[in-house]
Amino acid sequence: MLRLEDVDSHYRKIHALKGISLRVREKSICCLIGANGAGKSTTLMAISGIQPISSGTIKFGGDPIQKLAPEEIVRRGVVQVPEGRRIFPDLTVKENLVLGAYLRKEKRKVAESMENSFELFPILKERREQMGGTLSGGEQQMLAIARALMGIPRLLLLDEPSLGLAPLVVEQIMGIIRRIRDDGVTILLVEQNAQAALELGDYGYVIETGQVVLEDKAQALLENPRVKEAYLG
Amino acid sequence: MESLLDQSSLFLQQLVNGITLGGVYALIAVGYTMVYGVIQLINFAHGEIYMLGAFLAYTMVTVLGIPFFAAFILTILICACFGIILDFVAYRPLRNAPRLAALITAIGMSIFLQNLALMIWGSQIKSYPRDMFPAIFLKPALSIGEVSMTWMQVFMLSITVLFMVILHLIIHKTKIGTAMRAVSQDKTTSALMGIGVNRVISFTFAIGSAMGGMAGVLVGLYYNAIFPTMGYIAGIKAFAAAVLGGIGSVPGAMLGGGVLGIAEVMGAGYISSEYRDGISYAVMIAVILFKPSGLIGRQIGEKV
Ligand SMILES: Nc1ncnc2c1ncn2[C@@H]1O[C@H](COP(=O)(O)OP(=O)(O)O)[C@@H](O)[C@H]1O
Ligand SMILES: [Mg+2]
Repeated sequence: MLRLEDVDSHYRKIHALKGISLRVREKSICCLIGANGAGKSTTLMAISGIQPISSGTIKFGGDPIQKLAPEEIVRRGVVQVPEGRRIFPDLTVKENLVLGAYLRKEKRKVAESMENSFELFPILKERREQMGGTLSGGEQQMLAIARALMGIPRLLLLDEPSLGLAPLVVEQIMGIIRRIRDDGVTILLVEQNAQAALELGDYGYVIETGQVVLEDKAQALLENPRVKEAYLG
Repeated sequence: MESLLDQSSLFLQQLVNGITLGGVYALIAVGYTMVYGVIQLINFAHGEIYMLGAFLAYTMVTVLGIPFFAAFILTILICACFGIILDFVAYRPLRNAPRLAALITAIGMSIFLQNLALMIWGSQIKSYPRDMFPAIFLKPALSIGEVSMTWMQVFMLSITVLFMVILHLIIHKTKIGTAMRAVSQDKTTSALMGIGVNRVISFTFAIGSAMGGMAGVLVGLYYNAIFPTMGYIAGIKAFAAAVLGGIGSVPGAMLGGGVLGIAEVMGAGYISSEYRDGISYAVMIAVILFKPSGLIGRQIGEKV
């Protein structure tokens, strides 16, 4: 469904991605794990069309998308939940959700999606008139995911959804991600919390300093001594 | 007793004049503040859009013979386009450049447009022909004792209030308005939502410039004087109003404009009319010194 081939990307002088190649299969959860600064977020931003790439190709459903504007990529169904949630702090919960459906025209269906979000995350319904910035970390993560779902993604990119959350909340979030996959959405899950990600995922890539150093089935990665030592502690 | 009445009616008259003028400052100030809100740029050329508005309506009425109200509406639309073009030509290429580069470009555009107007219309002060609007405009609409409000003032104030309400509705009740607020808070995330960030910025320039151009026509009417450098002083005052209200805050710009208009008229009336312009500078400096976030501006805390 998504294929990166030999993708390079730079921040001025920093060579952040050095020939990343990976594939995400339809209706699966693919994990991208790696230490801080390995290039995980850069990879997702490149897929979303925010971070320009200097060489390589990114194909979604067979079509190259690396030259498309971010909104065009969203229109095709690739939606990202960025690292640190990035809720709009001075917009209400409802307004945040409305923006997730920015490209959708049919008002009634958008309202239906909103109801679905409230069903999936009842706490958001309670808080719907509250400013996004007043939510707790866990609530903000739920809002960020709900907001992305408002765009009806075919591929959902999740950047460290467990970051800074209490273990109980992490478990809750992971449960939600599974549910989203079961609804037929393909997921690319970036995590530093390799344990949680690989337990949930089907397949995984390990990246170090902008390169893929390992790839395997999630179960195999969990048992891989190198992964165990470096990421599972 | 007599003089006490005189005193209070003088005060009320000044208040009426101040509010009318303040409304116009507010119209200009929202343009500064909205653009600052979305791209953190002080668009120094905004005062020139206001000046061009005054001249465009003038040319339409005197040269092309277009009726005033039609010219007024056309001017507003053309100024909206000017705003979009200004952004596209001058600022968009510098979106990722250091902020100082855009600021210098803004000053450059301001000087360029002033000189362009000078070439087209000359340096002489022009005035709208008195017969272009109904004579009733100069008659008092209501007068209580010594205090009166002309139809012109009623017209200016109602236009101002009407467009402030429209602006409020756009910003808070429409999707594009919600997108404007989102872009002002976080451009990358806005793009991740599928928002065309550049289109939203264009829209912001269009709205701000439309209101600026409208203010130009209104002030041209009110003072009956238009000239190529009129945007400079009005621009500084409106900018002071935006700073006073809290730069980036639209209600702040409205409040700041009102307060500044009243302060200016009162200062001119009670202290000395020579201080008229100085009051704006004093207000701006005082705000920057004592309350940089303005009356209703606030620091937005980052939450991880
Ligand atoms: N905006 C930026 N400007 C410059 N360098 C950056 C920027 N963002 C990330 N980098 C650098 O790119 C590399 C990869 O970062 P990132 O993709 O954020 O890693 P990860 O998400 O895996 O923690 C790091 O060396 C980081 O310092
Ligand atoms: Mg990251």
